[in-house]
Amino acid sequence: MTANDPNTRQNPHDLPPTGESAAKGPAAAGKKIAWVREPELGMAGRSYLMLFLQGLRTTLRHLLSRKTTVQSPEQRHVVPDPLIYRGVHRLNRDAQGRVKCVACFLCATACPAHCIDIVPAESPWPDRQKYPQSFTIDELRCIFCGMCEEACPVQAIELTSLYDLSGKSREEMVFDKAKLLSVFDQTKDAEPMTKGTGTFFGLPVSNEGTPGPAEK
Amino acid sequence: MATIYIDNQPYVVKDGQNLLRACLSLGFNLPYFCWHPAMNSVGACRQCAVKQFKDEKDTKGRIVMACMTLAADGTRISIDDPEVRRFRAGVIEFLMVNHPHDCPVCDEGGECHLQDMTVMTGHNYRRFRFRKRTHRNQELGPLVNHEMNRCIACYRCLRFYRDYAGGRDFDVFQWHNYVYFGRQSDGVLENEFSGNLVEVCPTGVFTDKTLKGHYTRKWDLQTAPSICVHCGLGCNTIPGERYGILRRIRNRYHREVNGYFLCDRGRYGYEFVNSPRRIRQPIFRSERSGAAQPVEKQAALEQAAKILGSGERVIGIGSSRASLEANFALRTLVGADRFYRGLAEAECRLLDTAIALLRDGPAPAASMSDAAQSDAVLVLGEDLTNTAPMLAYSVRQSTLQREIGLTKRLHVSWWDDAAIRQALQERRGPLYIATPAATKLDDVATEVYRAAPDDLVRFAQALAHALGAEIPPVSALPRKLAALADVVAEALYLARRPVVVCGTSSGSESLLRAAGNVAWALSAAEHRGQLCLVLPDCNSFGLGLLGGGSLADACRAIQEGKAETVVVLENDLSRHADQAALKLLDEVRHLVALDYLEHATTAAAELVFPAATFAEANGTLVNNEGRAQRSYQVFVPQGKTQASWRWLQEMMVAVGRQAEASWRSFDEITAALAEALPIFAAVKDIAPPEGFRMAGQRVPRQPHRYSGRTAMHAQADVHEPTPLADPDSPLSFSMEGSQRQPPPPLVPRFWAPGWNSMQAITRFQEEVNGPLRGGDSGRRLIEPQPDAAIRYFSDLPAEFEPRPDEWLLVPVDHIFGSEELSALSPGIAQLTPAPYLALSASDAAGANIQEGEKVVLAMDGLHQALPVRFLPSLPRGVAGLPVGLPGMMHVTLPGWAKLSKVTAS
Amino acid sequence: MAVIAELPDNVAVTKLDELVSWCRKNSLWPMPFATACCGIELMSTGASRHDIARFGAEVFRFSPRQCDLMIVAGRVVMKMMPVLQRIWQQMPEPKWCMAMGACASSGGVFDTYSVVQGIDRFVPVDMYVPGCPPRPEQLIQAIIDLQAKIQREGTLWGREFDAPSRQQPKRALQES
Repeated sequence: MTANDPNTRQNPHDLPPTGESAAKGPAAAGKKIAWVREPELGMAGRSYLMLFLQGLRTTLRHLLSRKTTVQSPEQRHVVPDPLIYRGVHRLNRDAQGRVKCVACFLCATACPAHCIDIVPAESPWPDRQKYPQSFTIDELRCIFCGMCEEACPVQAIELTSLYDLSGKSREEMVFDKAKLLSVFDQTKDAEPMTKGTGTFFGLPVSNEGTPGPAEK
Repeated sequence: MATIYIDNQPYVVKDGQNLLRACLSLGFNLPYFCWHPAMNSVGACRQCAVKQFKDEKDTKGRIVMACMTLAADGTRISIDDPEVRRFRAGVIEFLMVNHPHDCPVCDEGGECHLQDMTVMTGHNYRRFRFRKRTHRNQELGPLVNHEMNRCIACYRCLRFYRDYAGGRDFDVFQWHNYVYFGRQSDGVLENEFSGNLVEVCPTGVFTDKTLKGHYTRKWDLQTAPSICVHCGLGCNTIPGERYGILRRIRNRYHREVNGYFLCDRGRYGYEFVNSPRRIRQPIFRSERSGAAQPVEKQAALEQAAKILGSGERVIGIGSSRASLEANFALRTLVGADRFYRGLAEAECRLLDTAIALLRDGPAPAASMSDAAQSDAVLVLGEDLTNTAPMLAYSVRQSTLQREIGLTKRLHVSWWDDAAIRQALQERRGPLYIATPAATKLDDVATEVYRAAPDDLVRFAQALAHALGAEIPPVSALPRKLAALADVVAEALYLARRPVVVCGTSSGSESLLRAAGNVAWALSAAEHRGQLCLVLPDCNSFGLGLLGGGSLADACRAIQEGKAETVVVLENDLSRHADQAALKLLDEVRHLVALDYLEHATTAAAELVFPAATFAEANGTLVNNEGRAQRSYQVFVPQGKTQASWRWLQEMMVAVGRQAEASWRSFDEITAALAEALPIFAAVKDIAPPEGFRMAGQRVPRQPHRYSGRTAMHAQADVHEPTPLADPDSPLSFSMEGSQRQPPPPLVPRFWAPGWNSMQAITRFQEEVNGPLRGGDSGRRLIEPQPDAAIRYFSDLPAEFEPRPDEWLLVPVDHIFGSEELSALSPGIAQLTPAPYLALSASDAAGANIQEGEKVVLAMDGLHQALPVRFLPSLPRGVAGLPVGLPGMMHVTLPGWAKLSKVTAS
Repeated sequence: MAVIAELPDNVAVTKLDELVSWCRKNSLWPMPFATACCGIELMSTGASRHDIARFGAEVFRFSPRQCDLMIVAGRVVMKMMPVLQRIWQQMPEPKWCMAMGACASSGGVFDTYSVVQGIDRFVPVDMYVPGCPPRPEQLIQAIIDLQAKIQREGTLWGREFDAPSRQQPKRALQES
């Protein structure tokens, strides 16, 4: 019997390194084998009465304990931290009410479901070059992974804590720019853009505007 | 061959090159900025540092710049040494100190050499905590966008623009941290190759402004290999599309043709594809002058069948901008004897002469790379910058060739660009230009000669005679000119690879023949004399080989009653025919047109079919050296648009001629073409057939990073459409397919892991500056006859005599505007001059004409009022007329015309 | 009106259709067509914390002949489609279908030739639940919405088949 015999192959890590002892099998390599025997059951054991009563006790305990059922939808699930929850998307607005997005396509590119579509246009505002003329998310394609939020350099796209979304048709689940902005309007008080200030690669970022190349 | 050791592994490399080139050719990832495969080394950026060891016992080594170090036999270097890695990361950290890091909003992002190199060196954490320096950006015209803050001062833009492209209006200003690349003041970049700054710049300082107008990320573009349609050179391009809009053109490397660059006409002329003047649906006019009614495809085909009937008395007019397949389909529809070429009589003659010179003589056609490597060039009658821009670029490079030979004794390596330019100073090799007016190449020319076309012929014949052509000497040549002819003859004779450049734009057949004489005389003298002939359109050569009569012949057929139905293929006849011919065509009983743009011919046609542009259909184009190249469909067009040959095939089926039009796919029509005309036998082999697969898969037109795939059409239809099938090529209209490198004719984009920018090209070449892996694409359809007896032409026109009351009009070409399709692109249209008449100042003074004044031009019944512009270099008695500009009538040039001043009334 | 006014308070009058709809909407028997991870969340919805029994939909049956609501939870590959269609056809009318999660609704991340890009290409879907997977609350919300729809459209006269949302959509295999 050798270690390479397919019928008796051992985990190679269990085998001692030398060929001499390996040839003699695991027992010879100093391992002790303990044989376990099935415990013998008495009359009480064989009647399963105790186990039956134990089960009943569990049922009774649950009958008397606090109810676990959540009365949704009246009783809403409280999201522990709405800022990190990944629910329906929103497109953020800056202080002037303009969409913050700069049409950089990073969310669209990061999206594993390829469900974000942006059509950029030259921006009418001086603080950026482009803005999204149309911004579409197919919520039914979306897998709510949050990579778009992660990729966004200007915190323009965020996932809110709205979780109970359902729809009657696929068309109504394709969210366009207006709809995504309206989600922002609905949720901005409950979930402010806390990430809105700070620095982005050394450039100051604030809710007042978005970073862009120096003014022409 | 030399053996070098990289990280202790031996590699065999070519002698005499530098380490960076060797490493890149071997496929190593070595970062660089200032080096460019076309522009060699200057050692400015310090990014390609490697550690060099004296011998195998040396463990200490020293850091050297790979681009400035000779890959000599036995060289030992390390790319992976920790110290040298730290060095490279440090260099890039310095370069990034002032970089704005605005990749998300930068147009270059995703195709940026700086991004790639930053990732490659591993620099990922910014330690510099102070303010960045900022610059003011310049407005550089409608084609190139300037964003100076992103600059890392590699100097590639400056080197390309000034040293290679010959621009003068772009420079470097200020000092150390404030180095600024731009013009002295805002304004349009004057050079015709300024668009290459977009590709030359390693980061986003120079970006494509036309792309900005309809921006999309570069990895979202659907691309396919294509051929430029804006002149006869056949440069290889990569057009990119999204949402049915063509977004931009990028260069596709071809060693023999365009190398690494494109001219601005080729790069920015593409927007005619998105023009509002596109025809998207079949149009029917019940009365010829009536309103156009869009009709359904089937109704249009039925109408066509009614018109074409039995095929009797139907003639076809082909086009030099349509593909070989489309012209062949038309030729099959109407029959070979009723197929006309859609060119004016003079144009046909010039084309035939040019092709005959290349086919019957001993001198081979010169490719653009041949022209660039030539050590003596003679240009006869062509303003290359405006008629064949990339050839002008090649000729400009050729002026260094002889002089680089001279630097050998200075022990300067040929790739040491700065040292070579320092050694050469302003010395340039032999380039002789003989044209009627000044050209942009004059600044590097050894001698220029300005004369009327007839005098140019006399000069060229004198030259051919001096080189030993068996033709009578030119009598009564001015002594100075005779001396010049001797000098030029000597320079050409002494050169190793002389090239004679001529073309059809001068309108002089004799000049073409004389150019042939010069080239043949050089060939006969055991020299490799090469002939480079410039042709006007992307498929002029192919149409020339296809044969057929001229437009004048077509008119004759109509007049004689042999034709009452005319089918015009992708041709605006008002650009080739005079007024009388146009009137005749207007009066023909039925006029059927196939084209993609509205113009005079489609406006007069009874039935118009929407044809596909170069980006919407496959096609084979033959360039000016006779190289047949395949251009692939980039995207499926909107509306009812389809390839012209498909329309023609369906028309033939509609009239019940299925047997003749049995081709259903592109491969089948190509095979039919090859079978019907043996000269095109090679056409079916220039690219892999439709059934070609790599690992069982097609070549994807969309890159693997393509985004938004499932949401692109969600607003129209939530169901993702079925991927479109492509029955014509081995490419697919999706991301699905093999990511391996396809054969050169099928390369849809240049990308390699870690190399997202154009610099990924080194991963596709056999070696740096070598052919693409798999060999150069395209194949020449004609070969020279080296052993045939040379029959020299003895054309010798009389000396040009200015006439007192008439002017000889010569054509003046414009890179922006003279070509039909590119003139429709908004960017190019902004740079197109308004029609004018060029006179030399002294002539104008003699006739008492001021600059800007309007004169009436009278010629063959043509009257046109044009403002006068002074062109100082024009010879006496010669006036220049811009050709092809929007609003200009067609006239056959050169020709005599009378001028009269417009009176105030 | 007089008759109605005379009735005692514990008698309600309604249309038969509405009564039947009311009964049906509150006794949906789901057929769990769970092929992937959404199935776990579907089980969770049935468990005591979310307790789908509150809406009368706790009777999961594994024979389609006893069910009237098919919940497709998970990606459906092309090879599975005939099975799904057969099960759908085995369910007695009136019946409803719910696409749970991104994959069943649209294909989700699995945008490949082998995965059905939304089961609505083969069976009519009444409710779509986005998410990967959706929360149980979302599923419950979808059931509430479906109940409203059942009540609104009625079930007795078969009028529900006239509703545009119940029309058989364009089928993938017939398109080209």
